[in-house]
Amino acid sequence: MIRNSFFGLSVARHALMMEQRHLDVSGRNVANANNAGYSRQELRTDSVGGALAPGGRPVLVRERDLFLDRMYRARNAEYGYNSARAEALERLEVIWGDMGDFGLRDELAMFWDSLQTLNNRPADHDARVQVLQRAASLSNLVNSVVGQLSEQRQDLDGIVQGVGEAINRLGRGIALLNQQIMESNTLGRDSANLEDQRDMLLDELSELTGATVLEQADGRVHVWIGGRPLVQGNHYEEIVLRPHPTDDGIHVLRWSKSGDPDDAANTVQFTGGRARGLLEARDHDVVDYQRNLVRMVIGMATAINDQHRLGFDMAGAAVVDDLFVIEPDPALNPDPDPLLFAISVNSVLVANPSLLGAATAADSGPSDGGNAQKMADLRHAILLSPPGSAAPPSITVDAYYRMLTASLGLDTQEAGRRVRTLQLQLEQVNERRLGRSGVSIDEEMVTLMQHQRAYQAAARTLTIMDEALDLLINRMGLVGR
Amino acid sequence: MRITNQMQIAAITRNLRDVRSTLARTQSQMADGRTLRRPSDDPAKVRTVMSLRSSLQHLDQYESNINDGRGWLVNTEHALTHLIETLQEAREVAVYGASSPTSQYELSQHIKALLDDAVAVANQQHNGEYLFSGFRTDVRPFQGSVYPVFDLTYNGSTDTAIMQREIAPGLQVPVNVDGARLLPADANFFRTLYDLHTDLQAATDETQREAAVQRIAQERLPELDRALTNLTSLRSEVGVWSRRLDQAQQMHVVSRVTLEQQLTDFEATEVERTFLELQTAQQSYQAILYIGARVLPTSLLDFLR
Repeated sequence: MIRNSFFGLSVARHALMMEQRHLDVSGRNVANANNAGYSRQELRTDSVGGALAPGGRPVLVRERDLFLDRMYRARNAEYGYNSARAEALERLEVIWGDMGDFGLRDELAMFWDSLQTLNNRPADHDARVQVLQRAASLSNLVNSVVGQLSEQRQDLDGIVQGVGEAINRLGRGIALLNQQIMESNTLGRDSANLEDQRDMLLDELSELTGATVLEQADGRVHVWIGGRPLVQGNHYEEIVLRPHPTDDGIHVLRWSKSGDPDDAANTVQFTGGRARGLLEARDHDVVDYQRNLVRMVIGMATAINDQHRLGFDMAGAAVVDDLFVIEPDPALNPDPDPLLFAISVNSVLVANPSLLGAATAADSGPSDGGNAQKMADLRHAILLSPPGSAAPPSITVDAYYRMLTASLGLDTQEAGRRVRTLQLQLEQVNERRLGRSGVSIDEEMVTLMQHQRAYQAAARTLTIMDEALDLLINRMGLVGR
Repeated sequence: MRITNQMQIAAITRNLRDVRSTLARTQSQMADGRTLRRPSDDPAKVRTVMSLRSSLQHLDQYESNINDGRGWLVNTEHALTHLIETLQEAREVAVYGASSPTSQYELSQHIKALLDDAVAVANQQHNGEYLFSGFRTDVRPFQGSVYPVFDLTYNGSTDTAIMQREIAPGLQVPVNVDGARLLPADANFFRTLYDLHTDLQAATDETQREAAVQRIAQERLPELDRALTNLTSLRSEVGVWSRRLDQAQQMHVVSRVTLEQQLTDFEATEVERTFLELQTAQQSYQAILYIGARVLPTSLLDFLR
């Protein structure tokens, strides 16, 4: 068989080029060793110059494990959901603040006690003023807690709006990258960097929304949120804000194109992620605690008012004024929107504390504090059904408040515990992912040395070939010259 | 499994974070001596702790209710004792007067003095408030003329006007006796004393004295005895109330100690354990830093020429 005299040169040239590319890839890996989202690249090559034809096409591979990606994103969605809820509950707990000495429990106790002092000294102006002051500071604290919870709802709504914008940004980015990746693939260009970018966006989106990702054969991905497509190939659907159908100042996220955004049926349903946690905290956790607190205050204040009206003032006249003024009137609206709720002490009584109904009978005398004692007795009275229950009343105000606080503590603790567990799991999955996709400097150094040696060897091969050819061309046929 | 640089960094960062959060927690527990700062620190204990705190707080109020009530009861008891002694003295005078042939005038003056004394005691005040006028503590309970015409009337409240003080959860004790109970219609000792006084005063001659002696024996002495029985039973009633206050107070002292003990058990940091935890955390913190400092900067590069 006759062989091409220059075969050796060609093989050596290919080898040199291949080793160069290997060196390039390792260089790139080292350069990106600390870049978040960078996936280690590896050049897979067939044997060079095995037969006559120079080696097969080298393939650049992103070291990535789809299974780990899915696992990471699923955990991330759960983590996002729980951490958003836990953060909201922790803030709720700070507003509630009832382990110190300045919480509602303390105010309640001082109010009950002031009524007993009034019973001890009903004729004493100071004792009357004290009851009114305690009632006022109790009212102020309740208003402040309820108000801060409303503010928290508004803040959560602001974050939800931000989430909507973030989803749009991510959706747009993913659709654009889809297009670029498909183009690169068609043109046979390297799309690894684009894919890394897209993976980072997908990670972010999963924490935010719990979106599911479906890889397509052409290198593009489809992204679904709550059973509806956010990104399909090069297209994405924008999410828009609409006012909440029932709650003032609160917003919902709706799909804009695949249906009428004003129709509640097109509300975005999040299966997980921060978005779901935020919505749940905004529309359930915060509101529920707010409502339960308002219920308690109304129950207590109404009972006090009712008992107060059975009393007689210092002048011996029957009481005509309530002690607490509740907005809106609980007789008309027993379970008001916490946004509208406010409680205060009747200004008529504040202006004239002698109108406070401490006595049990008309003209019974200035030392009759029986009605004050009866109001103080309401502390032991069964006035409320447990939080969130519609059963007939079975517990006292203090017990109700303790239950509410304990359940808040339990919710917060549980959420916090889940977040810590999920964070640990997430970090473990991420470490496995980094194990697969991360860059090991040592490894790259070894690879670099290996390919440097191979490069030197190929160059040496070339030199030897060259010398052989030199011998063949320049030194042959000189016989007899 | 491949170990990459980012992995190492992530692991060390995570370990550092965990240990530092333990450090921060134990440090703040040591600093303020409390393990419970938010409801979520231990939801199971929260209800108990809140309830213990409320109970402790209410103990202060019960304490002040008891002290207030005791003031009333002590004064009432003194007044009743004084009245009983006065009546007993009047009774001795009456018995003596019934048998003595002379000095009726001096005896009648003696009774008059006792009557004035009894009225003054019945109109006694406690902190500027009348003891025996029921709820109308601003009204002098016994008003009107005594001499020469007896017209002493009760002006306080009558309709079971009993002041009560809550001395323990749901436990209320009366702290006053109103004039109506002090002076029931069939044992009005003011009138008896007045009658005794006039009887003795009228006994100027033999026949008058005979009649007076008879009246004293048949009417005044039984009346005085009825009044004394009434007063004695009132005094023992007041004594019972006082004892209830004392008992409640003793009980509160014990409960306070128990409650504070419980609260400490629930809330306070166990210093030894927390300190150990703190020390362990510090050690592992140092260990992680040491390992990190050794592992992270080392790579193959250090050994290549």
